[in-house]
Amino acid sequence: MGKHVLILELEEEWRMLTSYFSSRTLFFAFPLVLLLVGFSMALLTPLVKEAFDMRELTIALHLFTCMYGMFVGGFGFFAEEVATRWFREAKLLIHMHAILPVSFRRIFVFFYIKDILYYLLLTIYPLLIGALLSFTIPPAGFLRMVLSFTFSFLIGISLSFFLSSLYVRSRLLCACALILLLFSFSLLSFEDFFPTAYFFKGEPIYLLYSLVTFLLFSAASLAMAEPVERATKEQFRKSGLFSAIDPLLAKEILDVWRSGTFKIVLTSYLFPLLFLSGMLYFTERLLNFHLDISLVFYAGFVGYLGTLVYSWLNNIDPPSSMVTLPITDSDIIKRKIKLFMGTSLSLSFVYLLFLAFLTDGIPLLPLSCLTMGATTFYVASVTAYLCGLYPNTLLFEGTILARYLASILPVLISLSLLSFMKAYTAIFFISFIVLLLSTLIYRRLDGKYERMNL
Amino acid sequence: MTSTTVINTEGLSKSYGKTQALRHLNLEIMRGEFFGFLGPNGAGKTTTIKILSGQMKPFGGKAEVLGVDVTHAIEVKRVIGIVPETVFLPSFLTVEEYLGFVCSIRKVSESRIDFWLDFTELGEERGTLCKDLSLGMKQKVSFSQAFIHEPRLVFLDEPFADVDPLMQNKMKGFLKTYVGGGGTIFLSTHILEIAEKLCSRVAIIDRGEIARMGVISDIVGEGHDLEEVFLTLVKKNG
Repeated sequence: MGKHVLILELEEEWRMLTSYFSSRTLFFAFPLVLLLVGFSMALLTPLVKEAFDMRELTIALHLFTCMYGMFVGGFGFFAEEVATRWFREAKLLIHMHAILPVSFRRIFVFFYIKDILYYLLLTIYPLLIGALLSFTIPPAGFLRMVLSFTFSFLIGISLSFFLSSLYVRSRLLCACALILLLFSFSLLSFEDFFPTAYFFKGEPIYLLYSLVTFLLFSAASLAMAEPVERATKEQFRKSGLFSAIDPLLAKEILDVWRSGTFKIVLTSYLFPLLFLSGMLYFTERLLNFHLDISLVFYAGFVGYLGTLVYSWLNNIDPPSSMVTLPITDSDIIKRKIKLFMGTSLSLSFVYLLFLAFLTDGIPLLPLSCLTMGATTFYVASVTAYLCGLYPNTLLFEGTILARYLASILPVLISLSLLSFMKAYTAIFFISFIVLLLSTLIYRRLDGKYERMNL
Repeated sequence: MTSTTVINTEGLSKSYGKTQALRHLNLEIMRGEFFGFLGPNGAGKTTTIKILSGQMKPFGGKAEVLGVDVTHAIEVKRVIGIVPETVFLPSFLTVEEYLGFVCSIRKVSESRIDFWLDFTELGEERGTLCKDLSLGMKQKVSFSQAFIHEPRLVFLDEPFADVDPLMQNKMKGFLKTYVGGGGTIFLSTHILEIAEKLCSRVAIIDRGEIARMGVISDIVGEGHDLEEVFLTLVKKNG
């Protein structure tokens, strides 16, 4: 039975993943791009060697892989989701435990294996193969590299699985486990991380330690893998928003708040900004000179985080819930853009204000606010115009993605370059033009979506 | 087409790729009719309702609902009520908020909300988020939103599927009163007993074509019931 279920789950995942793309050929573009990234990264190794200590960089890459595993490994949350949703959205094989004589745990083991295989084959291995193809890595060391990175990922994913499984059962227990783990890690150096130790020393015992760690976390998590039912039937007082503002906008605001999406929106801002800071730090170290980055550069960049936020706003509640009402796509899109603008502008303003104080950039704050407002509105209008209410799937469409990039990149690149050149007058005019352009696109939403069925 | 015509279609067609879902459908439904639209799974019932209620565009032919061309979706939805086959309610609004939201969109007074909460026995759930309701409760909310603006025509697509017998009985009573007061119902169902009890006229659709249409007593004839007629027609076409 096991082999059969695993094969079916692999097929199911394959069909689901390929359905996001307009063609199956295009689907393979994704690992191919990763392969090219791996290839380019490996080619840069000689350059990187001059700026970084390779040992530190190798440790960082292993830890990054482990963190990637942690990022995608929150399988414990499935236990809660499956319990509350199976009867409404029985879409996947994993939900079938409820109506077939098979335990959730048993079907979940294969789900876990299937996900691990896909992550390794579609993300980790293309990067590593790309690196191998650059010829900067000797084939002899390649196997060791594959094993150490595989186990870095496996430890990450199983640790995340373990913590998320604890979390849905007891937040206190999860916090205790987290503190215990952090304390244990603090006693060790990063070089003692088993996969890294194996990579440096080549001793198989570290592979064994890695395997045991992975199996222990996985077994403990799978032992807890039973659907957890939570009493979710909360009662709410009627919100005053409906009598205060436009009902469609009120609905959007309540959706964001009650679904907890505001936390994700905050994270959508925080992570890319951390990434930007890290990237700039890396560039400064690599090129060995100090980049004088003005506040306007950040202002332009934060506007581009809009696509992520707009996508999240479209992820909360399917528009089909309003299919019976006299509402058009463009009615909903415009409310989402309004909410998006309100959220993004306030978050971005706080961020810019904070940076302005840090970088003595107060005099540039008004211009930065204009640039931020213009790019924010532009990104939202372009994304909404191209993808409507379905940015999460339509942005994967080859032609739409190409049009999106062709609209966004020239503005982003020119504003970034001008900010490095400190050409503030030009930035002012470009921001102004972008603002006008955004207004035009926003007005054209009606023409495109007014007669579209939800 | 007369002044009392509520729904009129001429040669209505729809296809999904190579599959012809509707073939030249001709219908004329009058004010005050309780019209049953019957057929096996995949016969074209839901497709017809979706087209007539502005949820889907037709492929060919013409259709008017209350004098409005069905391609003008918003205008159609403004004057009708719809209980869709699959009930989707906004997950993060409470029952009361959702009904209030429907009233705001339809620009009618919220004074009817209490009546519907009372009728559907959902008074205690007024503050519950729609996502936390049972299927039957959702069906009741869906039923309420379709009638809250007191439309002249309502499309019902399997409206009793998840509702308990007591509530079914109550809903049927309401529908009879509604039709008696001049309202029109277009009911799609494959539960023949319901159609036989409620409808004044029915059409049996199979593979996108009307196999039989008429007043129940004419279709059934002496010594037969609707199920026998239905099975004979569908088998014959098969």
